[in-house]
Amino acid sequence: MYRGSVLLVAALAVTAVFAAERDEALIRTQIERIKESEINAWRKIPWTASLLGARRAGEREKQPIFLFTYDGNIETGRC
Amino acid sequence: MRVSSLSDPRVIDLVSKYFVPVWVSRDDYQRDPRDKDQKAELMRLDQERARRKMKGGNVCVFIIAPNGDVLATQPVQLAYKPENLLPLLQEIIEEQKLGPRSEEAIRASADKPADAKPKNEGGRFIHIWTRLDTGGNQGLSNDRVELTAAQWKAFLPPVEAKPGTSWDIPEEIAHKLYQYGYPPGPQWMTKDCKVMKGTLKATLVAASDKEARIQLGGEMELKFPLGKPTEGRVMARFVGVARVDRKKQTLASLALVSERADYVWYWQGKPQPRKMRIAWELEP
Repeated sequence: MYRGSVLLVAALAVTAVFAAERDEALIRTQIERIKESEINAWRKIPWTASLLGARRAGEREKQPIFLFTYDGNIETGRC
Repeated sequence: MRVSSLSDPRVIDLVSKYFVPVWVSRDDYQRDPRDKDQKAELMRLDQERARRKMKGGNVCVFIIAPNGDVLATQPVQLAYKPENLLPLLQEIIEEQKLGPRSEEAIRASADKPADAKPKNEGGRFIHIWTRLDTGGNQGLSNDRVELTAAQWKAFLPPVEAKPGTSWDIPEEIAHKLYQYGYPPGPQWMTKDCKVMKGTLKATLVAASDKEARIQLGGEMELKFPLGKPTEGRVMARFVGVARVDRKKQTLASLALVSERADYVWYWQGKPQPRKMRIAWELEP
């Protein structure tokens, strides 16, 4: 009787671990899918840190400036 | 712009090679905060654009000559399409007889990514992504929130916990994570978001001497302003998992994702429902 109960508890524990592993794999796959849908090619552009820094670089190199002004926060995707 | 023309490889190529690129948030979100001189320079450019009756607005592309003159502008309504922005860039390159910038000059002027470290000793970052599944592609939102050591330790199982034991993650911690669960878009003031309801429950699933595995489940209702009188709402349900390193008594991983997330905003009093997805992950 006692041995049977111990085996049952052990079997339930193993089942719980397998279920947890399956759930974790599913959750991680879903998160990866969300991350993969990121469109962040704009980050490849060698942006200058500030407008005045860009003005100085433009003057020094005799190159024009590409200025993009917007509302919000481009880095967090909220613009 | 960021998910359309600024992520178009042809635009990236021309902007990177022939121009000194810079972005300026009019909401003062620059990593390098604008000082008085930067504000004055932006105002000068806006005034010159207006005086010369060039098209523009808050969201706008300016092409500025090395001497500071405004050569051209293109408002977002046009510039978000690469087929409008590309000819403008090509025209400037030809008119000004531009050669490409040197690799050295590009390296010298390019911003270095900030190496953000936790503000609190023992603090850990949680990364949050949201996306809309229906409607136009607005890309992902991308936020980080720091949990203090005391806050992330709330995910560790109580000392006497056995598999099956559940505990509530304090509301203050759940709300801190949920506050960023609103979709990407122009609403950027996270502090204006109000978590109307936010619960997060942890359950110990399995434990050994080395590791504890935790299952997470929660719900939230979030309200955020989109401009008077409209507001947006997100209602979502989550599932997640966490692993605890029992020897180090630390969180080894944590992942939480929406099982269902509904976003609704109102246009002329009519609800505009959309599906979205939200994910949280502990940074290594």
